[in-house]
Amino acid sequence: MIKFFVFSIMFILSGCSFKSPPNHFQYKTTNAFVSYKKNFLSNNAILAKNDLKRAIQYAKTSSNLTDLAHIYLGECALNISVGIKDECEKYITIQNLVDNPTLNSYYSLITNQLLDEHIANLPPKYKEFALYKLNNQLDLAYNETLNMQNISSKLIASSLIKESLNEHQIEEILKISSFYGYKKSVLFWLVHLEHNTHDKHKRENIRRKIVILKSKN
Amino acid sequence: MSYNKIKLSVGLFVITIFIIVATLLILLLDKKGTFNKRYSYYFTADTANSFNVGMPLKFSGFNIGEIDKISLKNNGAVDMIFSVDEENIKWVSQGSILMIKKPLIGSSHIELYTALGNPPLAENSTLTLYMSDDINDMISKFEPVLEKFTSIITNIDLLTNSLSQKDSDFYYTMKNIRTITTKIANDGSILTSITGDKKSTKKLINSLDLMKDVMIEIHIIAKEVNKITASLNGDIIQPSSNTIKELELIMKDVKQKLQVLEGTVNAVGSYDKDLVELKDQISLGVAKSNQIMDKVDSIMQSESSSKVLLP
Repeated sequence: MIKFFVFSIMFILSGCSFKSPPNHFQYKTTNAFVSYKKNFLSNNAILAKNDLKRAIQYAKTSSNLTDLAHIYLGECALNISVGIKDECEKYITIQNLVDNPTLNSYYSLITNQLLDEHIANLPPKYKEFALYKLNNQLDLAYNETLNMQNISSKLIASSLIKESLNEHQIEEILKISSFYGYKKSVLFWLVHLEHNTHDKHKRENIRRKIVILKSKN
Repeated sequence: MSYNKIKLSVGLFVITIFIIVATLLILLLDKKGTFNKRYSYYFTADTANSFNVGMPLKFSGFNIGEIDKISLKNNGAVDMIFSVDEENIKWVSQGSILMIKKPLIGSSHIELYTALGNPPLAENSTLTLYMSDDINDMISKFEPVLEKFTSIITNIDLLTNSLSQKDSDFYYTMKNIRTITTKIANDGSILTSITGDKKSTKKLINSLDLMKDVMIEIHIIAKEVNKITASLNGDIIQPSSNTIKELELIMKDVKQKLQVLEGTVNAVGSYDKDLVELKDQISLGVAKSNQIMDKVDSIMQSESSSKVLLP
């Protein structure tokens, strides 16, 4: 009882002592975008839409549009990672206003317009991968995706070299997506696997899996 | 502070509080006259109806005492004791009488009537009680009025009955008046007695005859006009009239439909406002839930950064 009382007092005092930072909207932007990534890949469309809307809304509170550009590019990259065709039009509309080398390089990477000069400005986690891809060392590039810590980065990178992946490699990516419960990614890789499988029986099973996953009952 | 000292302090505090409360209570009761000596008096009534213990005794509208006891005597009478306090004993003097008041509105009470200046009445004396029943008094005063009113209604009834019977005086009077007026209208001699001379009577009759002829002429002209209008009806007026009637019906129908439409338009207008209000409320709800989601996100997410990282 005493412990509970002391804990309550400490909780209230600590709550009162916290002061929200002046740039709290940036924290909200980040949190909303992180939530968006998770909900988007998990196929929670309504929640994802709401998260993205909130992230954009908070990012638009500042005259610095870098966060907004990050969001637009992130949205584009995630769409590409699950096979949705996206030319990153939203980012292009504000590209000149931001003029960020990292973002420009990232944009080149996800739209398959990568050049040597872009590699230096890429986020560190993509540098090795981009180098292998540029040099057409796609197996090494695939191995590099497996070494990536961030799951969404792993899925984006895999999708960029999806045409060169063999059946086993696709199944490996599928396993990772399934492990995290990213249904949207799972469906995408299942469809891709179906197209790349020569075994008729296996293809039929994949088709049935897709139907089951897509059904609401 | 030692335990014994604490116990002593608490004990002293409790005793002090008790003394203060008791003193205040005593002062309050004293102020209300609880400890004053009371003087009792008797009176007798035929019935205990309308009396009860604690019933107030009033003098000039002020409460000066109350009934303390009511008891039934062996002879069927009711013995009652009331008391007044020392302060009000002066109002109970020799020759004082009591009267019970039962007002139409409010509770019953006993009123004391006293002759001021008389010496005070000795304690345990008996006073005389008079009954005063305001409701019954009112009814008894109203009774003669009611009797007169009944008599008037009876007379009106007799009059109307008399008027409706054929052998009544009123009926004969009316019949005579009718005979006289008929004779005046038909008999020239009576008319002469009114006009003054026979010439005037003749002139009057001639004028009436001429008037009759003129009226016949007017009737013939009216018939002709009617024929003309009748001929017009068939060719022009009737179709026009029918068209106008149809037009009127259409206009009535249009008017009714417009009235219905007006109601519908008004209703739709109000729905529109309701929808805007509903939309605002939903937007507010969503905004609030988003705020909660922000807080939940900030609590749930282990990584806290102000930078948006590329996926």
